[in-house]
Parts: sequence; structure tokens; C-alpha cells
Amino acid sequence: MPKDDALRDDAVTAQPRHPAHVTFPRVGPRCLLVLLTTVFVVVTVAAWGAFLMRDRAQVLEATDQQLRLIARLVTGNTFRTVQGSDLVLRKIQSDIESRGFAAWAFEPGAWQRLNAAAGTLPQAGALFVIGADGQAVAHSTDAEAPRIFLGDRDYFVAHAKRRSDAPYVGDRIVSRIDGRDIIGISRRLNNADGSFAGVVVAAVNIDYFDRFFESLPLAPGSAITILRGDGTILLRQPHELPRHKAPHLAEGEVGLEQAVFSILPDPDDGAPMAVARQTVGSYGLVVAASRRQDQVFDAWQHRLLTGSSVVAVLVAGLSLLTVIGLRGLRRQEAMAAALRHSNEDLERRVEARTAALRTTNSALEAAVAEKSLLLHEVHHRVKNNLQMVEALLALQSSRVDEDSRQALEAARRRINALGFVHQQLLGGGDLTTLRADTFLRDLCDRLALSFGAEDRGISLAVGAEPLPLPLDLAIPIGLIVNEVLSNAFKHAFPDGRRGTISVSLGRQDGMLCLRLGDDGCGCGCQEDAAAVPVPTGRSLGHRIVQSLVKQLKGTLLVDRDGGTRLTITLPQPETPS
Amino acid sequence: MTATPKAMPRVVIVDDDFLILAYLEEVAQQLGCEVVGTAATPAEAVALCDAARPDVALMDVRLGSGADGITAAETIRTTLGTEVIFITGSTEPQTVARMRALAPRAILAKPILPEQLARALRQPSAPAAR
Repeated sequence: MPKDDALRDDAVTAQPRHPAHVTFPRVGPRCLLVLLTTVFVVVTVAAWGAFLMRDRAQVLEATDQQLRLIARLVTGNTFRTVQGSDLVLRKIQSDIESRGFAAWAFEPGAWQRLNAAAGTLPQAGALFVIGADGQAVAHSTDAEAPRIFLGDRDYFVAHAKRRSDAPYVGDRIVSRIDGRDIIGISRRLNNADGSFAGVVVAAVNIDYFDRFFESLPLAPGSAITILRGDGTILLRQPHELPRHKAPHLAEGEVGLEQAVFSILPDPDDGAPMAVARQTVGSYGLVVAASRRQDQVFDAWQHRLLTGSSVVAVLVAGLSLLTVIGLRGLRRQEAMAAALRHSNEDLERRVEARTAALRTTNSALEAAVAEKSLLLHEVHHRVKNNLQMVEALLALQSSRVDEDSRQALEAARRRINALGFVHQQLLGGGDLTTLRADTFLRDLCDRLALSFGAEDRGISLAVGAEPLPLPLDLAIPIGLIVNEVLSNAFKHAFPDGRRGTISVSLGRQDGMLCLRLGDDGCGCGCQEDAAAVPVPTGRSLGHRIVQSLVKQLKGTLLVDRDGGTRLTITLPQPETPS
Repeated sequence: MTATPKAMPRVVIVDDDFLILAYLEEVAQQLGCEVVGTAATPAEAVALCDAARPDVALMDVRLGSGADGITAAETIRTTLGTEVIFITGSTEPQTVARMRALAPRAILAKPILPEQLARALRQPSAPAAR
């Protein structure tokens, strides 16, 4: 048993050190708690992550739609601007070419025609014509053509170099006529033989684009860029032009009918940006509506940070609660184990104590049984010895004269009464007490039988309470009754006189009261008064009764009126339970 | 102590105490009984009864070690039909029960009075419990 306990102790203390051992054999409450917390944390974090990814995708999608819308609007506007300008330019071109450049140029009122045409183009600041030598020959805003050289402009160089029937959208430049920021949309003028005659130009004010751009709902970090197919930046809102070329914005997949969304580096600093790009008809232009990615995800990142802190706080709180819960459970388990140990200890002690008590009990029982047996044997021997004494007296009495015989016979009866008390003790249960009622009745019956009361017509009235009589009291009472009744049988009913002898024993005023009486002749009926024990006090019987009453610290009252009545009052014995 | 000579039975007395034996013998004789023999052991008792064929056996129970008076009485009672009066110091319930099982004429507890024995001997004989 101690060995088993030691093993169990090891198992109990080993558990906290190796939680893995606990998980597999049985799922305890602590494992369950850890499992639940882990599952909750994983699920929460996963859900939060999924939400963030989805949120990010939605942000990107919204940006995509917004940028493509802006790109479409700008593309449409740009297309109409270029198309409208080109229509006017084409009209002027055909006018000039049909008349011949020289004739048209020196015709008075040429500027007025230009001026009228310019009136139809609100976005164009001015229309002007440049001769093959690069000198401006007519201007819509001034009758006197300004004496300026424009042969170095990129559009002039392009037209002079190559015959093309397509309009040319030039670089963003500063007008040499009025100093405004413009973009020149131009057409080549041909002589009748097809040789280069000059260029007609519509100067579109940048202001026009600026105003349009400003009317668009642009989110922070957004930019609108218009480029030529070669990557040359014509326009950019806001006006930051660190570079004039951004080839990567014109390359790759650029939408025709509608803008195409992609992530490209910002031409300013190379930071990633979301961009929707679309080509402007067949004019070799690209519109790019862009927004810097950090700006796109600014709000999302804010949500990411705040939400993540909330989740982190939640997880931390939950972990704290779990740790507290685990500690509580561990304490509870420890307490339960302690309680179990203490209970087992208590049980062992109770068992040991019970066993000890049982051993003591059986030893005591054995001792009591042994004592009882010994006592029984002693009484038996006493009784046998008394029987032998009685036998001796009886044998003696038949060999002496009549007086001696009577004396020996009386002695024999006394011994017999003594033996009877021991016999009664042996017949009873506990060898130390007698029941007063049965004892007195049996004793009186024996005396009646012994003196032939039935034949002589002497009746016996015995009434006793069922009191317990200890041995020390039973022997003297037995001897007293033997003495008084023997005397009554012998002397109270002479000559065939009939009568009654009454015996009673009971409690009275805290004392034991023994009454012995007869309705015989008392002292007067017989001459031999000496034979009567009371009141003369000279007979042996009387001395025996007086001695016993004295021994018992009792009192003796004698009434001789119409018989003899003795009342003996004795202190009550301490009643054994 | 008045003996009635006409119907007093012939008796055998069994007791291992010779003083008691003598006393009982004298009492029985004073009552007018013929004492045909005495015995001190169960074996002697059985042999005596078989030989003397008394009417009544006065039987003690404790007869030293070995078989007791009840065993002897049982043999006497069942084989010879002799009646039994137990005169015993043993009044334990189980012993009394064993004695009663033999339907004795009387069971007298020691110390006995001569009158008790007289009354038992004067009783009309019971039928043998064969």
C-alpha cells in the first residue's frame, strides 16, 4: 500500500511538469481550457486576417474603379480637345493649301480668318501659321504677325522632317508670343507639289486642362498624367515635373476602349502607385490616372493598426484570463489531491483505530468470558462444597439423639439455604445479582416443601417486587427468610393448626422493606418459649436474624398481635445497572 | 421424612462424590427405597443398571472427564427403559435442554432438599421413552 501511494504521488507531481502527458491519456479541464483559448485565438486572428485581406482587396477594387473613371473622363476630354482642334486645323489647312501658302499668307485678313476659327475653339488660346522658314506668318490674336522664329519647336521639326496627314501633339512649352503654358496641336501644310510649306498650330492653354482636372474628384495622393506614346510627359496634375519622360507609363498594356488598372512605380520617386491608363483615340497619347499606393492603403492601414491592437488586447486579455484560470484549476487540483490524501490518511487511521479497538474489544470480551467462567466455576465449587457440608451434617444427624438431630438438621437447612443462593446465582445471567421476586418465591417454596406445608394446610403468600438483589444482600436475606420461616413452620402452627405465612419485599421511603408474618399462635401457644426466636432473643435463630440485620445496618420491628409479624427495614443497595 | 414402604422404587445412585453418594443413599433408604447399587462413572452406571435393573436411576451430570451423566442416562433410558432423576449442579440452559430431551422423572438442582427427592420418587412412573 505505501508503495502504491508513492507511485501515485509521483504521477500527481509529475503532471504540471509535463503537460503533454496529461493531454493524451485524458483531456483534463486545464487542457480543455488551453485548447479552447488556442482555438479562440486562432479563429479570431484568422478571421481578422481574412477581413483585412478582403478589406484590402475592396480598397484596391474601389481605387481601380475610381481611377478608371477618372482616366475615362480625362481621356474623353482630351480626345474631344484634340479632335476639335484638329477639325479647325484641317479646315485652315485645306483653305491654305487650296489657295497656295504664299497667296494665303500675304492675303490681307488672313489673321481675321484665323481669329474667327479660333473663336470656335474655346480651349485654344491662339491659332497661328508658320512658314517653311520657321517664321510665324499669321496669328489669330494679332493682325501684325509677330516677327518670331518657331523653326526650332519640336512640332515644326517633326512636320518638316516627315510628311504625315495626322495631327501632331507637341511638347508642353511656354509661348513665345504671350508667355503662357501651352501645348501645340499642329498640322503640316503642303505646297501643290507636296513639299513642306509650313505648319498650322493650335495652342491649347494648359489652364484649360488644369481647370478640368480641378473639377475632377481626386483623392489625396492622386495624379493625372498625359503622355505621348514615346513616354514624354505632356501634362501632369499636380504640377510636379521632375522628369519629362516616363516611358514605363506609356508601355505595356494600356487600355483602348477603357482604362486598364495596374500597379507601377511613381515617375517622381519610384514609389508604387495604382494607375489606370487609357489611350486617347489614335492621337498617340496616353492618359494615366494614378494614386500612390501608400495613400490608397492609408485608411486601410489605419484600420489594420487599430483593429490589430484591439485583437491583440483581446488575445492578451484572454491569455491572462486563461493563465488565471489555469492557476485556479491547478490550485483546485492540488487541493483536491490534498483532500484525497488527507481522506485516505484519515481512512487509514480510522481503519487502524478500528482494528485496534476490535482487538481490544475481543481481548476484553475474552477476559470477561474468562472471568465469567472462573466466577461460574467458583460458585459451582462453593455450591458443591456446601452440598458436601450439608451431606456431612445430614449423615451426622442420623447418628445422634433427637435433640442433637434437630440442631444438626437446623444447621443443614441453613447450609442448604446458602447453597440455594449460589444455585440461583448460577442459574441467573450475570452471576452477581438475583431477581428478588423469583428468588424469594423459590426459596419460600423450598421451605414450604421442606416442612410439608401443603400436607399441614399452611399456605404461603409471597409478594416481592422484581428488584435486583446483589449477592451481598441475597445471602443475608435468604438466611433471614430461612430462619424466620423455619421457626414459623416449626412453632406457629402446632397440633394441626392451619394458617398462612406471608412474605413480601419492596421499596418504601427509599429503603428496602422485608415483611415476614404468620397468623399462627405467636408466643403464647407454646410452653417452650425459648424455641421461639423473637422476642426472647436467646435462641440461635434469633441471634442469626439480629446479627444479619445489624450487619446490613437495618432495623427490626416485631409485632406479636394475632401471630407474629416481623418488619425488617434495610438500606437499599446501590443498584447495579 | 415419612416413608411409604409399599410403592417406593428400587434405585441406583450415580455420583462421583462419595460423600454425596453416601448422603443420597441414606436419604433414599430413609424414604423407603431399596438402593440396589451405586456408581461413580458413566460406564459403571450403565453396567450397574444393566445388571441390577432398578426402577429409577439418580443421576449426577458431571462425572469427571469424558462422557457425562446425561450420556449414560440416555443409554440407560433407551436400552433399559430405566427412569432417571437428575440431581445436578449444572443448570446451564443447554445442559438442562439435553436433560429434558430424555423426559426424566425430575431434574433437581443441588443443593437438594430430601423432600424434593421424596416428591420425585413418589411420583407415578412415567412411560419409558423408547
